Amino acid sequence: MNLYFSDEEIQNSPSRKDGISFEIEDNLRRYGVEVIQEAGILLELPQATTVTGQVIFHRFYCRKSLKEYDVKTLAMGSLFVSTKFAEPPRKIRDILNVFTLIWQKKEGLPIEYIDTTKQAYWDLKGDVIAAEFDILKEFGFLMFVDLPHKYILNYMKLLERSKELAQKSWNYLNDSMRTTVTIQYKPESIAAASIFLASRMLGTQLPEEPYPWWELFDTTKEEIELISFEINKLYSKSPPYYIDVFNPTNSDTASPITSNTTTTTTTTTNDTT
Amino acid sequence: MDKYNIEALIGEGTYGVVSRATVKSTGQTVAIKKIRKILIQNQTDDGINFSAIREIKILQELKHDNIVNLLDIFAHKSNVYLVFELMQWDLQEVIEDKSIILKPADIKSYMKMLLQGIEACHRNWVLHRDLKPNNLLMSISGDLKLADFGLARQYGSPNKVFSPQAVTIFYRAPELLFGAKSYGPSVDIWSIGCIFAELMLRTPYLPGTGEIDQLRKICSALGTPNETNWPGVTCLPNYIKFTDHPATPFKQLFTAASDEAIDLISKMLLFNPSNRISAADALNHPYFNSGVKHTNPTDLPVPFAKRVSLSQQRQVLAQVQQQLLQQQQQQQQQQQQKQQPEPIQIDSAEQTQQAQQV
Repeated sequence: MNLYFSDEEIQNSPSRKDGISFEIEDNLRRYGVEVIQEAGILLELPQATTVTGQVIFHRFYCRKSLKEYDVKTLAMGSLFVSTKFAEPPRKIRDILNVFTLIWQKKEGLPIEYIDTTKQAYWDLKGDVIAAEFDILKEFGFLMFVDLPHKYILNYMKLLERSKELAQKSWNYLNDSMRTTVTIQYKPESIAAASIFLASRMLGTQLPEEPYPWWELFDTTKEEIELISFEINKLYSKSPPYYIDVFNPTNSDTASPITSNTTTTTTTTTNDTT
Repeated sequence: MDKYNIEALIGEGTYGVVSRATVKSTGQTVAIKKIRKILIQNQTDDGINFSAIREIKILQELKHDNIVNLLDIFAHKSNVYLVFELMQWDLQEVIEDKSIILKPADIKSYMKMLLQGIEACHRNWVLHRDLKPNNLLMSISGDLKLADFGLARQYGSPNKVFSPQAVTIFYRAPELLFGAKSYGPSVDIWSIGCIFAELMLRTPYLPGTGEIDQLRKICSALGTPNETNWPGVTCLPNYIKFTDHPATPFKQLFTAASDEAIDLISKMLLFNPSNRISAADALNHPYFNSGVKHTNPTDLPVPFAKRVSLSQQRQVLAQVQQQLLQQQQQQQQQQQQKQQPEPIQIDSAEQTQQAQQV
């Protein structure tokens, strides 16, 4: 069973009760998901494992506040849990190394290996293991995630369209992980919405006669439009950046770092075939 | 934690201790497996034990009469606890107990339950990868259940690389010994074949001391694998040429076995993994629907040490079940009386009460 959350649960998330605005939460969610994606590539994980980590990350912040669990720690914890559940497993040390590298790059700090003899390393490791434990406990060890990626391959086979459409749909699917649609709608609909967006972008006609194509994929036009709208909103947002919600004074000075990663171009190396 | 009363330590598993406990609300006895405490200060430590996670993930999805039932998972302090139904003994104890005589009908019963369990795993794309008598547990009602899914994993994706370092060596299939990195459900079938032989021989069939010795034992028992009986064998990573050795006919070894049993075991212990019989086909094999009928699970032999306590336990269980049933019936009657105080309803309630007394 896949786990879903209602619109209301997302609007009135635990973070909101701690005084964190929807905008900040949205920014931090996108930030966490982006970091997980980059770490997944560096750790050479299958896209399915990375995406599972992203879904776990989204689910957790529907249950717990951003003030209680720091985004950075939880991003590591979510990916760590998903490497254990969706395999292949990765050493916690590799995870710590990769995430540290990403943050050093993002924040323009000098790139250094983490020193395993220093207390800071053990503190970080302890935080990730604690996050892992809290995630498992929160969901009663039910970590099953039904991914839209699983469906899209079959759908593309059925539609018999270009490889380009397949790759574009796949990219939209990966981008959709930056929104909360993944914990609100069933994977079939998200897959169909990605195909819809890709076909619009490429100007590809999909069959609507005698029956519209989406009917074959267990979804409705209404759901496709809702999801597409959510995904499309992403592209007008500014790139996410880290906000320290624990020390609000620091976040005022922290400006969005101009990094070379933007939300619009998430072409992962994973091939759809 | 408050839901259970821990009673006694009953064993040590791969990643923690197992205790017997009772559920406070129902009186049901369960086995609780405690997963070792997470030590952060340990260099090699990687959070919650990976094989425990595998076991949790797979057992949540697999529910079958011949697979051990995971009742609950809970976290207490920094430990994780898995709650299983309490099992009584394992097949190893049965095989080693010399006071037990295993009749062909008993062996058939064990094999049937074992194959049903593994068929359910394979149907759900799960490889057990550690089948051995000591992981086959027997319940209070005599049902055989597969346990210890710490090495199990999902299969079906064509490009996934598997470790050949799976399965206890006595039961390890030849393709694993030759270092194959992709394999399928046939590795479990090989183990079942070895268990089948062990049930008949009452001693491990192929007790190798190491990988090479294991292969040598296989060759002297079943002949030497070559390109004719196993196309592609010479291409496996760790293939070694063994001197040709003729196979020992099964009939010579298993003198008391029926022709159907011999036919089934020879299909389970084929060298070529793709020709090895599947669990579903094995269940339809004539062995199961001809000759002696398999023994009823409740009539299967019980190891000497467990005999007295088991009969007591079964009596207690029957009493508890009866009591629960009566309580439920009484509650239902009370509810019915409360909801619809019409004379007709009371009549029928009285009738059931009378029936109960009779």
